Amino acid sequence: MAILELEHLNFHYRTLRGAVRAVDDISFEVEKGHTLAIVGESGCGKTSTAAAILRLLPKNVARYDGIVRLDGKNVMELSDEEFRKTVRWQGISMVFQGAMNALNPTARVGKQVAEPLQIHFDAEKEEAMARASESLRSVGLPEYVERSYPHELSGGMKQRVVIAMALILRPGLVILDEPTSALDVMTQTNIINLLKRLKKEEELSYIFITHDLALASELADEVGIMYAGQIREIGPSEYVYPSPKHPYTKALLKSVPILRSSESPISIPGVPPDLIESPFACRFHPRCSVSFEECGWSAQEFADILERLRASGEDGGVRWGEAEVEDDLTLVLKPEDGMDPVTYRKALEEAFHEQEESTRAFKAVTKVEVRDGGVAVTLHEATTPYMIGEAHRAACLLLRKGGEKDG
Amino acid sequence: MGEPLVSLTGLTKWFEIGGGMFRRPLHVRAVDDVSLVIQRGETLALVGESGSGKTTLGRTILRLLEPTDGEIQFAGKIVTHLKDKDLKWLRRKAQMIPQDPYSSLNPTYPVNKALEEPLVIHGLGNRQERWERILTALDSVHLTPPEFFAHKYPHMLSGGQRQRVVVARAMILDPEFIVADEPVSMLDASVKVSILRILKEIQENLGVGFLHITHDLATAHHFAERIGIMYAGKLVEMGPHESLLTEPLHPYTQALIEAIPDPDPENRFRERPALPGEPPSLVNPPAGCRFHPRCPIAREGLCDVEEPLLRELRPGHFVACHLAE
Amino acid sequence: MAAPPALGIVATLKDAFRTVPGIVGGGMLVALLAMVVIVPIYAPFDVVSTWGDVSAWVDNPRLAGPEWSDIFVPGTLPRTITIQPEDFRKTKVVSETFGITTIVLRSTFDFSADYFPGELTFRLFTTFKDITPLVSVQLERPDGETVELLRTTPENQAPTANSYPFSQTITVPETLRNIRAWATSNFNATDVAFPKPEVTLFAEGGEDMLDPHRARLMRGEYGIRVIAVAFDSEDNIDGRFLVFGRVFGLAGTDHLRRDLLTGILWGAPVALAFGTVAALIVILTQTVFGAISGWYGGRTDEAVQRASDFFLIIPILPILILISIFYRPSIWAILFVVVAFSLVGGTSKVIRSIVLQVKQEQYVESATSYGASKIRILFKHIFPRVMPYTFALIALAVPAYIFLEASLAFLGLGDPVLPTWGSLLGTAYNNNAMFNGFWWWIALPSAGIIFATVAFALLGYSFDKVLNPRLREQ
Ligand SMILES: Nc1ncnc2c1ncn2[C@@H]1O[C@H](COP(=O)(O)OP(=O)(O)OP(=O)(O)O)[C@@H](O)[C@H]1O
Ligand SMILES: Nc1ncnc2c1ncn2[C@@H]1O[C@H](COP(=O)(O)OP(=O)(O)OP(=O)(O)O)[C@@H](O)[C@H]1O
Ligand code: SF4
Ligand SMILES: [Mg+2]
Ligand SMILES: [Mg+2]
Repeated sequence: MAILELEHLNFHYRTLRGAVRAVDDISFEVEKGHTLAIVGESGCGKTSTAAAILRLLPKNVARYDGIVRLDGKNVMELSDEEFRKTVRWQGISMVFQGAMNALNPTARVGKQVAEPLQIHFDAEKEEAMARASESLRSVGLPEYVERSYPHELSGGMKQRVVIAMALILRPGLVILDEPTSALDVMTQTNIINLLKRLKKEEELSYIFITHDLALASELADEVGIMYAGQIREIGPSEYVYPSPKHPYTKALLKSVPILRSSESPISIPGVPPDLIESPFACRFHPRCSVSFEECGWSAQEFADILERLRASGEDGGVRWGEAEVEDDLTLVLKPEDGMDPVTYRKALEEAFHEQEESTRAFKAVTKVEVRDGGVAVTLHEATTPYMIGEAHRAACLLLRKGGEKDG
Repeated sequence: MGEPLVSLTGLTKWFEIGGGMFRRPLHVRAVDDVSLVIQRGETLALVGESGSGKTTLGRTILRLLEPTDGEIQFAGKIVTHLKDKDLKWLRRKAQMIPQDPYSSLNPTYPVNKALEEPLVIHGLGNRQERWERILTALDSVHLTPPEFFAHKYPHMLSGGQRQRVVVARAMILDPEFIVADEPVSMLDASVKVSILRILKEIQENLGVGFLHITHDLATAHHFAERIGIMYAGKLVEMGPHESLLTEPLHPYTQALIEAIPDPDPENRFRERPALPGEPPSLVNPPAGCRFHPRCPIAREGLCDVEEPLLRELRPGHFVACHLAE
Repeated sequence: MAAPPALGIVATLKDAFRTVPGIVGGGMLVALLAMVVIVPIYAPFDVVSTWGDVSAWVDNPRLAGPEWSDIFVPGTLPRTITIQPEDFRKTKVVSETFGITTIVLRSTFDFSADYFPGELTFRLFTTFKDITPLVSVQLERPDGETVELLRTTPENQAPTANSYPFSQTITVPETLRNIRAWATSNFNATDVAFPKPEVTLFAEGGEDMLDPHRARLMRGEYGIRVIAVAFDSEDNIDGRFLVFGRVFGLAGTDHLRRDLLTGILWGAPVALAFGTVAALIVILTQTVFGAISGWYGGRTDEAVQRASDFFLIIPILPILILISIFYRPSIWAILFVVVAFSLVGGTSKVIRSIVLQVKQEQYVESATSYGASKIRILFKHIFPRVMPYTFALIALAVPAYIFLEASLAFLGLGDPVLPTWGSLLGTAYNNNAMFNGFWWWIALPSAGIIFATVAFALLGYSFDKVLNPRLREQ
């Protein structure tokens, strides 16, 4: 049974430049006792997803809606007060990114661990301290740690303290946001081992947030791959790792340097997207090595690509003229040095065709026609990808039945 | 092989801390008696846990820090205690690529100004020549078209692009040696590899020698010819990358390799062997082998008494462990 | 503390002027600056020599409120009515008999305000040969009564005026005597201890007309007549009659009849100049010392830090007071002292800590590694980073120095010549403006200080908003 189900969860921030769509229509579920790893690059919205689940909202929320079901019950319907009392920390707790460095330097560790108990249950001090010490013991910390101040502890110990804090109310689900990324390999391994043990002994479910695919495989029963605020592939680890479906997942797996293999890692071209003005349709299309005409090319994007080709002198037989964007899908190219538009049209058409493997935007060209002394280029209309598949699903247009193109 | 590019003999750097009027200062033995050579056109990766002295070693080699003891030779010349004004040629021949692309560029300088500064300082070329060199440098780090990037400010660039600018700045003086201190640790997975590739190209095409500091053994494996392992200020093992990974001789290296996961869904079913404890204090390091308190095979009466020396057990493969053979 | 933001000065300014406090503060500052520029152009005025010169202001009412005080009372307060020599000349009649010349000047004015006038003054300009003429000044009232205010033999030759402030009963006792006699005999008025000429003369005839508290105002056309008996045909007289109002201009007047608007407007450049120059010099020097201290470290740092501590505990206001008591320094001398005692201090400590953070940034070490000298790094990399903070600190320091100058001036220790907001307040205080209800004298200069202070404080706040990442959220 699923302990947590998200359906169409949205969480956007309001900023001066526009809405940051950090969590954009995310749906997934976490089975009881299972771990879902959410993997994605920096800024893709992992922490925001966690914040949305725990309803930890900043002031500048632009949109927050969807369904969050905990043990079958939609907790989005609860009032803030009810949510705080019944869900946060008891139902779902969280180990925050960088929390080990956010411990209060002036309070003893035991007291800090006991605090959630006192806040949520008005527990007696004695009882809270007893629970705290039990919790600290369960993460493998010696007794003296209770009376220590954070600065007296090593990084690994502090991280254990933070985990103890998350466990003190015995929640069914713990969200771990990059719990080891600031730690050394050896310490990281010790913490991961601890998490594995806790998972088995306490039947805990985890949402494990990380940017490291190798590390994710240490805990994940299911993996979700996030890109630009959206889950793009999700499924059992046994399927996702050996046979990823989404081109991004494939590329990401190939970009990881692997210790026990001599196969060279391959980088993903381009830069991670902006969550305010993300690319249209499939947000990965500008970086995708198998993208095709439907993936979301816009006239502006096309014009920018031509502009860069022009500036770098890669004209491939034609001089790319100045491009003028007419609408979302049409742009007009002006031939340079008084070239005859008809000849120019022909040259362009050939160049688009010849170079479509290296510059995949050229695949989107559907029409090249002479117009007003220039050449109008019309692009193919885009289709927004949707999740395809059952247990293991991904959002790529190439996965449509019979829609295989380019292999 | 001719004369080595960089050669360290017993290099030691201690930091003084906590000295006061009535207190004797303590010493952080950040780098202790390290000897190694780096050839022209090769990459030596230096791997170790946080605080093991990697950065300190790199900065000392570049003479950004004054060594406490030992000797540094650069292209045959001894630079160990040269004064700032005598170091100008080294500042041209040896460069550094720092870890954090967000703080290694002056936010108030556009890219071209950042790249021009080293040229101005060393009085190289006129305006036009400098501009051309800037474009070439940007081109060599694949920031194309270079004119497009030359006028951008750091905040307009992504982390990966910034780091390319930093690499271009290090390259602009045609250096012979570069210390890259965790050059990709702050970057996104998808762009890491592209930076590492650029560094590799520079090394191979231009014959630049690299000291690549990293805590990621997998990166070292793919992008360095040789790997050195540091533990608590000491170089404990050094050798060609395949040999070091397939046949690690030091128990610490062995544990390190064990601790690193590869992406494999089977991982979750078993615990990974890992050393208990933490690296020792550098102020008061353990006697004998600094690793002995955590070493699974340490031998009493030997490891905790006598300091192991670096021995060449395989061709080019050195280890500092009494029990390795 | 978070790392200093990655912004240059231009970017910081741009961002700052996009925030609400930036816009408001900037607007206020622009208004102030516009005033500083426009005032000398449209109202040229030798403030330095005139402000302290009492004779320059004699035609203004004394301690008059601003004209817009009307809004606080029912009816209208009287404005000053001036009958100029030209007005008198229009009706001038000269007749000569037996070697005696009789000159008659007469003019009328309409008094329609709802309150008694403030004061009455007549200025007589006489030209005579050997013997002083005999002059009589009379007031004609709308009820047909005529009161002789004065019969006199003026001593001063024109252009020096013979001034007769009728309301100052000690200077011109005869007037009050005449009025008393007239009122008691013609209207049976009850005498009181301290009648006021300007009340009784403008009061309805009756029993209460001598009592300033009970007299009732009589509106209508009044006339002033001057009759001179001269003894040479060349002799001549001219007159100026002033029925002082109780309100004047936009800001009223002080006890020396000076136009406070002039004081306030001319106080603005003084305050701004003092505030900005002091803030600029002090903050910039402290920035330089702070940056050197943080960047070079070691002994230099130690020296600058100790000096800062020393300067920080020096009480600058008492020192300035001491100096002022002995020397009455000009405003520029005060400025010099302020700067001399603030070469290092709080700002150098703040800047030092920012530099210590910037020093940690890797581009600084990179610069060393490609050969930049320490001094080059200081100028090319460190200063540009701290300058935005310096700007903010300057903006925030300006009000402090405006206040400092005002406090000194208030204590009477400021510049002896120039009007400044502080000295206006000081004189107001010394003349018990508060108890006597001369509210404008206090409120308006204070408003100037507050306006300038708030403008700079808002600007400083807007810089802070841009520079301080915690405030910058959103
Ligand atoms: N309070 C906020 N206001 C505006 N934008 C925000 C806020 N918090 C986060 N963002 C933006 O939302 C996006 C997603 O942020 P988030 O922290 O969820 O990413 P992440 O995947 O956790 O990244 P990382 O791996 O760096 O932790 C980013 O572009 C970030 O800049
Ligand atoms: N300027 C300094 N003064 C005193 N101690 C220092 C100084 N710089 C470094 N150290 C100490 O020297 C030791 C080695 O530091 P170093 O930065 O070289 O480690 P590292 O291997 O680069 O670690 P990391 O992986 O965290 O970068 C640490 O214990 C550090 O605290
Ligand atoms: S010498 Fe002993 S302690 Fe040191 S590494 Fe070898 S085995 Fe371990
Ligand atoms: Mg995050
Ligand atoms: Mg380091």
